[in-house]
Amino acid sequence: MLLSLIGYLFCLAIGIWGFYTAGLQVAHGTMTASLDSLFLTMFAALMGVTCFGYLAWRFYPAVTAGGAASAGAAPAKAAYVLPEDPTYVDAHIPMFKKVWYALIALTAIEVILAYFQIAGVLVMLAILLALSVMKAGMIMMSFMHLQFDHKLLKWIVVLPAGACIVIMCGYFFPDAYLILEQIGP
Amino acid sequence: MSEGHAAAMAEPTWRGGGTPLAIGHKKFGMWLFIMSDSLTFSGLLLAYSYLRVANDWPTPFHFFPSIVFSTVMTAVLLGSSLTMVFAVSAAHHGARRKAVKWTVVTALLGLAFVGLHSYEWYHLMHDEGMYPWANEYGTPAFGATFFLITGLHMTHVISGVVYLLVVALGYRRGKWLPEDVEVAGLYWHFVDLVWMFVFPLIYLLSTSVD
Repeated sequence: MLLSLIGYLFCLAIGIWGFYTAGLQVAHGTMTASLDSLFLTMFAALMGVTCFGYLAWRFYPAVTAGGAASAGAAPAKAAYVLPEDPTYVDAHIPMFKKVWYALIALTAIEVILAYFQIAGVLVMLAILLALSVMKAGMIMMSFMHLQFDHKLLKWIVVLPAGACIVIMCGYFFPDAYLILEQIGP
Repeated sequence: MSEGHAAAMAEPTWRGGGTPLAIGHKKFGMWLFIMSDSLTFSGLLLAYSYLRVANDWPTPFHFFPSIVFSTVMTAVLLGSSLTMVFAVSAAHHGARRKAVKWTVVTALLGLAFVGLHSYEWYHLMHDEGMYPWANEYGTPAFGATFFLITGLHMTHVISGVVYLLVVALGYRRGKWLPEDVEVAGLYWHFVDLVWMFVFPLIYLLSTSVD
């Protein structure tokens, strides 16, 4: 209990550091000053997204548990509930509807942001990606049932693909900026 | 629990029994496919980002019609995810007609998405002069990435519609089980999930600044 609490606080601290550092670099315009600062920015942003993504992933079931509980007998936390149980999906229909409204609302926020063009392309990218990761996590956890599946399945599905995407980002973006620096747009 | 499933559970683990992840083999197979497919899409989106960073990238999409159209498409796809949830729920209750009805509604919403997207493509080609091989914005790669990524996604939607209709027919005839409806739903939600990344990255980030 104490250990996991320390872990979450650690995660929160690194996430805040990541976004703060990346934001500082972008705000001061030093992001593309050198390859080092570019790498720092990318690394910090990735750490921020990863840490906050993990925290959202971890605490999402606790936040949405209300809908399931009010619907009556909800076998939410049992480790080995097989999907053939008829109470399995039906107890969560109110929760699914809530998630759906939230998805629509997040999409509306994205479109409004695009309409008013309130930020530069990099800040827009950060906001849109954060919202998209949130939406993807909500779809996976609720509609795709991952919230109720075995813990191991969550890690098998998310960890390898997530690690691969993060590593690809680490390779591609510095290289792309290098091209931008060398030959200009 | 299906009979085959129950029989597998009764066997010792080293003889193929037991389900360590507490799901059937079909569902696990679909999850593995989804993982590999998500890497395909992330590779394409990263290649798009790479080109975007390394080139002078145009932002040609006007709020009307392109952004409004793609927003409606997003809503249609999200709505089809909800109807798919209803279908899976009904199938698990053994409400066969209801499950078939909602599955068909999901497929129809998928078709609506394809129709809207096709019109959007037509508009871009005929009114904006934007093709996979050339455009008037000065960055040829723009059309290539746009049509490749949205085209691959549309292929997924079309095959998803076929998949859903086949599952609905097979389930109605009693040939397939509720688990099959659920696995089809898993695929359909994944198609929705991919669009949640394609829509902001391709459309919203290329909204024209007036």
